[in-house]
Amino acid sequence: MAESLTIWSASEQLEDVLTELAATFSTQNPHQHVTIVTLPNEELKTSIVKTVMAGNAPDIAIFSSDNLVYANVMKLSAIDPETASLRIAPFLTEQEMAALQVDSIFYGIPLQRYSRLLMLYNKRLVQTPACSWEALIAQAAHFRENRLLPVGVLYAEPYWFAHFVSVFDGKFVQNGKPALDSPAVAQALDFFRSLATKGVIDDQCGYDCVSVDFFNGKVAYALNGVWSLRKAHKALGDDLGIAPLPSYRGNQMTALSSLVALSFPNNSLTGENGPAIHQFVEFLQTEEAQRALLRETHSWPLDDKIIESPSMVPLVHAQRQLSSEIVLMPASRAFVSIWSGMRRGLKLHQRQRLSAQASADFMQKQALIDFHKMSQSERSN
Amino acid sequence: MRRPRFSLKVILITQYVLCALLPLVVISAVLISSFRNIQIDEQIEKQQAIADSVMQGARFALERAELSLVQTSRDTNVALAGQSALFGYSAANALNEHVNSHHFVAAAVLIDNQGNIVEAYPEDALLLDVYPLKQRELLDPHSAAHGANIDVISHPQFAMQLRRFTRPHSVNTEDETGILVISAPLYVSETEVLDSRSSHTGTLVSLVLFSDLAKLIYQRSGNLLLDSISIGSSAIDVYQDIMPQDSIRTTASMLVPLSDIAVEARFYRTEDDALSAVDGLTLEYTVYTSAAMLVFILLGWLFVRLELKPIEQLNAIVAQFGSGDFSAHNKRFRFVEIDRVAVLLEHMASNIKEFQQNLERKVQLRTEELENAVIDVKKVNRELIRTQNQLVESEKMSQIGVLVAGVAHEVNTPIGVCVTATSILEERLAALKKAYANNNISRKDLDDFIENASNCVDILTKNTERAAELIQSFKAVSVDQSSDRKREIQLHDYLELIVRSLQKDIERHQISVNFSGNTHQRIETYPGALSQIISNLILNSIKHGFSGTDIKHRAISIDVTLSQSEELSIVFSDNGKGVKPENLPKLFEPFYTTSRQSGGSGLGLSIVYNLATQRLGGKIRCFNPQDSGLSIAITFPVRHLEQLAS
Repeated sequence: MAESLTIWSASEQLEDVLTELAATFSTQNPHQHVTIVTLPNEELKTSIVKTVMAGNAPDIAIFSSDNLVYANVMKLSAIDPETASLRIAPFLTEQEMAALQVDSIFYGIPLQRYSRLLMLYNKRLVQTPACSWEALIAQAAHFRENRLLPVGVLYAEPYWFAHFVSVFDGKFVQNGKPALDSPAVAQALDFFRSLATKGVIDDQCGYDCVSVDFFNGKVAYALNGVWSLRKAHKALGDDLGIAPLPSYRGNQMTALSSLVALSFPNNSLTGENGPAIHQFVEFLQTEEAQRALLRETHSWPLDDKIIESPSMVPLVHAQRQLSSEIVLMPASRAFVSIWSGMRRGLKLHQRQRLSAQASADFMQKQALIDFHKMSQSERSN
Repeated sequence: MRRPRFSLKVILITQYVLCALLPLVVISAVLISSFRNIQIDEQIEKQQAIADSVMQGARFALERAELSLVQTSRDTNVALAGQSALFGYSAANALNEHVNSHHFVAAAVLIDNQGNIVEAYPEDALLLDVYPLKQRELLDPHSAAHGANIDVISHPQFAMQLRRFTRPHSVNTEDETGILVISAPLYVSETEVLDSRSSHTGTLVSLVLFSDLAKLIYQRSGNLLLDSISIGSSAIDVYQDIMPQDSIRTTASMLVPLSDIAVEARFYRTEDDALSAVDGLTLEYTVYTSAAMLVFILLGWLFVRLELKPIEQLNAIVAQFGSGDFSAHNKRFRFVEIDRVAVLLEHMASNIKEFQQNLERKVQLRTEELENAVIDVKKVNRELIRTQNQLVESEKMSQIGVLVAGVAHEVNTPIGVCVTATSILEERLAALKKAYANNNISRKDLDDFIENASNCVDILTKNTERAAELIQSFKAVSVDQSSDRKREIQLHDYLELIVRSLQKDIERHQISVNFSGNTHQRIETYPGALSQIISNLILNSIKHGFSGTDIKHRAISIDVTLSQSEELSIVFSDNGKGVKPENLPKLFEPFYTTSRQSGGSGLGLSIVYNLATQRLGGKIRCFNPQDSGLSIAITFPVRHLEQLAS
């Protein structure tokens, strides 16, 4: 009897390669058919929860590792890290291993390293990439004169804003709870807005701004994720550069990163498709599959050996060189609770409804509400 | 011949105006007026219908918003957002879509079952104080029996806060008085049906400012202006200034769905604005009617012209015929009837021409005949005139003869006396001579002779003087009768002289001639004519008036009156047999006589008439006096010289 596996992925970049790999897998395993579905990140998460509730969740969900915190509501299969077939341990650091755990339980298997933001730039527009926000502010006028947006940043997205907190040495979680009401967050809010008023970034910048417009040469720098490398490379080719995240006042901006993880909603690993899932996961961990992933996505693979191969791309090298920027986001309730509150507070600040500190305080208040709800929900489950 | 008073052109035009144009104008005016009145009524009804429609539209919008909210509340993502921030993003998008789809919704908020706003759109609504909602128990999961609940919160502070957060650019300076709250509970359920397994996760709330509701109504009101709105017990004045007096006002209301909240709106529209379409249409209709009338007039003028042109051409042909030119022109006319008339006229002209030619020939012949006849008549006329003149001369001669006879008769007496006296003187002288011869003459014989001779000489002298005087007078009369000269005369003496000249005939017929009136005048006139007139009248009375009568006392009276205007009036009357009244008008006609057999010429009174009217320049009339006889009155101007003593 043919087995059918459904895989949901949050990365559009992975769709083609996964489909290709699925086809290869099916060729190798004719009795197994794999369906790849790509959903936007937020919808992926909510859909998993709803389908779990309805009892028809996908077999595998691929998303960033910090979302493993929803293991409870997603009923993710716990994973034995010693399971050789799952190949969790061989390539990962301690921090990376921790990122796959919630309450010390593994819920995810890494597929690729580091879903993170990168400072992409167009070599045709930027001779020497700026390494600081000060330099970018200085260059902004030049770019504006040439009708270019200096830096593309998703202005309304908390994930993009959160990176600016790091230059003020801010922390998001303290003592296991959200800590957004810090001066660092307030300062980051003001700084973030000031970049818009100075014309360094655009307060109307949406996803097209950091992708399509950047690909079309209208934006000099674009703060966008690894998930955009495939299209960026396809559009700009050798003109695509990766620069370090700009510092500010000497403070390095860090990249809030996560691993691209395979998770198994609704305890699928132990369900009737379990063996097939194991098989497919194993297949994805093969060198062949990893090379395909590398080739297609330019993302840092799990196994560095693949990078040393002739198919190595400079983009991956750049990512490796910038690995010091990486701060892995934990799969913790406290951390995941910050996003909604940050989103709302960011909006209020950008609409000048609240001052920076008031916004930070609001963020904190909202984050705490979400954190408590999550905790309560965990407890009731 | 009576001249025509109307022209066909005028009649046609008048007929056209009265039968077509005027009815068109009248009917158009009546229709336009009726149309306008109907339109005004319809406009008012329309306004009411629009007002009702606006309110129903607003109700429908509220219904849609309510349904949208219910639908959004049934979105699992939204319901789960009350429980988990994981769904916050999706919920935020859903709220975004809900608010953007219903612009009158100021904000949509997702409140969890702890009363925290977890999502809101616009994001500023995250800061709202939801206490007023809690106070009204709108967050109670059991408050919505049918999936949603609509209520009114009359909380100005909450409303103002909402407006401040959600309508930052509002120019409305009036305070908000309340909010319409649409709420729907959020449930997470195993199935579509809510049951004991369902868990309440929060409430989804749409907030509508009263001012936004008013704006919703206002925006749908089209051309209607909104004066005021009342929502439940709250009133909102929309129109700032005083509503114009000439406004058409309409009130419409609706019930907010799922509630007994009444929303009443008062609309108005200025009469000018409301009726502008009607006025515009009326003007348009008037313009079209006027244009139609102009077209009618033009067509009428063209038709009249078209119809009259053949008549005018026919008229020209008739005029041509009338002027005597009967030459054919073979002109055809576009109207059958006129063409027939033209053909007939042609025939008639042709006939007339032929007749004319025949007539001309006949006339020529007759003219020749007439000319010959005229020549003959002239000849005869000349003969008659000559004869008349001869008769007149003969009459004159006759009169002169009468006059001579009269003169002879008068002179005969003195001449006779003279002959007698001469005889006596001759006898006496013979005796004296004998006596002398015989020397037998005595003194007594001589004295006797001398006395006798003296007597005879006296008699001779007187009678010869008388005869000379008579002859001189008659000569004067004769000369006067034969001459046309005006001269002075003593009227009475002259009349007596005339009578005396006819004394013989007068005495023979034993007629007494009496004068009366004012005869003693010295006047200047034509004595010859006067003499002929009186003579003829006397002779006429003798010949005709008294002839064959046995009237014992025959009398002729001649009454003279001189007026102050120097008009002499002579009334000659006789008491003869008179003239029959039917013959009086013929009396003065030439050759009229009742005694033709006895040699009457019939010219006497004709001569009297001509002399009286022409020579004397007067008037003459004849009449029968009351008793008998004939009277002839002649009045003529004279120059009065002197009144003489009688």
